[in-house]
Amino acid sequence: MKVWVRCVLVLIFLMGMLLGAGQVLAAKQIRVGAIMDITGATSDVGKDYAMGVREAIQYYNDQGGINGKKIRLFLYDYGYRIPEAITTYKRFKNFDRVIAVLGWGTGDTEALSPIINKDKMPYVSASYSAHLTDPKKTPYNLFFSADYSTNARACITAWYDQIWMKDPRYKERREKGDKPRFLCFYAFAVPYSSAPIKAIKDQAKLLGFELGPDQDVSLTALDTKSQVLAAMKFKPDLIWHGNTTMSVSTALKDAYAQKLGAWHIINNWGYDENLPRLAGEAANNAIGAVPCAFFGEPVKLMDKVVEYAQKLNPGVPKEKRLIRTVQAWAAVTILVEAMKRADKAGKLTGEAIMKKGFESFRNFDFGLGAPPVTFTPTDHRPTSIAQAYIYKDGKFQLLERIDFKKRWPEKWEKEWLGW
Amino acid sequence: MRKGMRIVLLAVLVTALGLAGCESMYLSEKAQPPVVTLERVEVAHSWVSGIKGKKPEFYINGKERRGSPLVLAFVFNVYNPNKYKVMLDELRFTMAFEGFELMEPTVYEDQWIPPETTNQIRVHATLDAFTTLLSMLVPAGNVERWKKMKVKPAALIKRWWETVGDFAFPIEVRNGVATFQRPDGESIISTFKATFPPKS
Repeated sequence: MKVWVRCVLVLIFLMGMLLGAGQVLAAKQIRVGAIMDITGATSDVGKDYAMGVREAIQYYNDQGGINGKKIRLFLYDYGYRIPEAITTYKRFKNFDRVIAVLGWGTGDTEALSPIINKDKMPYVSASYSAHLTDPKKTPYNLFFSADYSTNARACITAWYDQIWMKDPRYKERREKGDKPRFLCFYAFAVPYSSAPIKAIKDQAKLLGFELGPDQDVSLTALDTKSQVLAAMKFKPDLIWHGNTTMSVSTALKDAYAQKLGAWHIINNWGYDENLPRLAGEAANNAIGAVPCAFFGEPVKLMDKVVEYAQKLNPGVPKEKRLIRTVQAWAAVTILVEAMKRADKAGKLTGEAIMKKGFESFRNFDFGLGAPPVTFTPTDHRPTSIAQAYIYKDGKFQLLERIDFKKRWPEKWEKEWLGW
Repeated sequence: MRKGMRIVLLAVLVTALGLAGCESMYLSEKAQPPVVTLERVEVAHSWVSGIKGKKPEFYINGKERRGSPLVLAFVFNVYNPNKYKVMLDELRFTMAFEGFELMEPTVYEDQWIPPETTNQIRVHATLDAFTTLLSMLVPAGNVERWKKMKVKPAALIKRWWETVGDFAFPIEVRNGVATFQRPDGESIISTFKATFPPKS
């Protein structure tokens, strides 16, 4: 070969190397979709969650992504409108070609469930509805926390154990054989709010409560006086609230103003750092289900949670961030771990993410203050442990941590899966 | 091949090699975040008829709820101060009317920005009077704000829809975050905020 021809070939090769070195983008990307509520009826909690999703994905990308492959996140606001969630999912499936989805509400997650299960699309939701935990019916639905039903059972049980059975104010009534009186405040037509109703009433009966008339309270309620007045006739000792923080704070304030005199237990999406800010004194002694650490609490990954909150959303003060961010990190973390395991096993398909990933979790502790997570091919309840907290002396404190598998083993194994 | 042709070919290849080398060489430098600024806001589409009348009755019409769309277009300048091209990966911001946060437009369309040049990107934000009302009734910040102002959210929305064409109230871009990628895959994050019309 002539010398000049060799020179040209060497130059072309060098040029290719230099250009190629700079063009590693997009070659190894893993696409993940997120359907969030940033502006809709649950945006009081959804906005912070969506920020957390972005921050967590950025953190894991900075750590090397999925075994060296970066995650490309497509996050859209669906405004808590189910048809928009379905449309967005179709876009994810057909155009963005995502391999997993981070979802939001109970209504849309349950509406999408038949489609995602047919598509074999792992779907990690912020809905912790127990309806999504039976793999025979919903094999591709997942979440990291105790489900709403278990949380509701935990709150009513913690109140029964710690207040009703111990508080001297109830001594006389206990000795007389009185039953504690219980009713629920929630939006009847909203799937999130109504999901654990059957379970909490079952638990109330199990513990010997007397049940009163439930009150229909909108997610956007700014006035609940009529519901509080209706509840007063029953003289409840305990009220369960099934809505999100804004609506729950309204109900607590009205109950406080009307001197209803009942204790309040709250589902996890109604119980966060904003509750005492919005409800003031009315939030004292409020008991709620807490799935993981509050924002800023000293747990293993919290430094990163706080660092990335400041890095990606510097315009939002640290003091305004919520436990919702941490919940989002938890959802992203279990998905990332499942994808890493599936990838290591050789395949990154929906089926592999489920079988080689999620269903290989055994007491997986991911450092965000949540009980460790286990998924098996026959049971997608992430944990049997639920935590009830109480807001007292200006801070959230653990009231009781209940392991349902230990306390009611037979019911946990044979009765309570899937509702 | 004639000697002259060989020389020309070699010169072209050496120049191309040099240029390719330059970009890779600059990649070792610390990345500077691209600068995102709001050029202008346009009313791309509006439908006010649903909120006409003395009282703002747009959310109830007999038994039916009805909406009234308003589409705004935000035109941003994106300047890349680096000596190598960068790819705009994602751009998002919170849109606020008079301090009320109403939605978070996000775009994912990729675009490469050559070194030391400015590209433009247009982001559409579609609002509806009814969904905007929902945004006014739920997030704590908005509820506290209209209560403090002693106004009804419906009245505020009616005014916004009717006067947006004159930009009679401040439209804010808050918590703006743009994510870029360098040719080697490294991420760069830029933050931005703006108010339109700009304060004089």
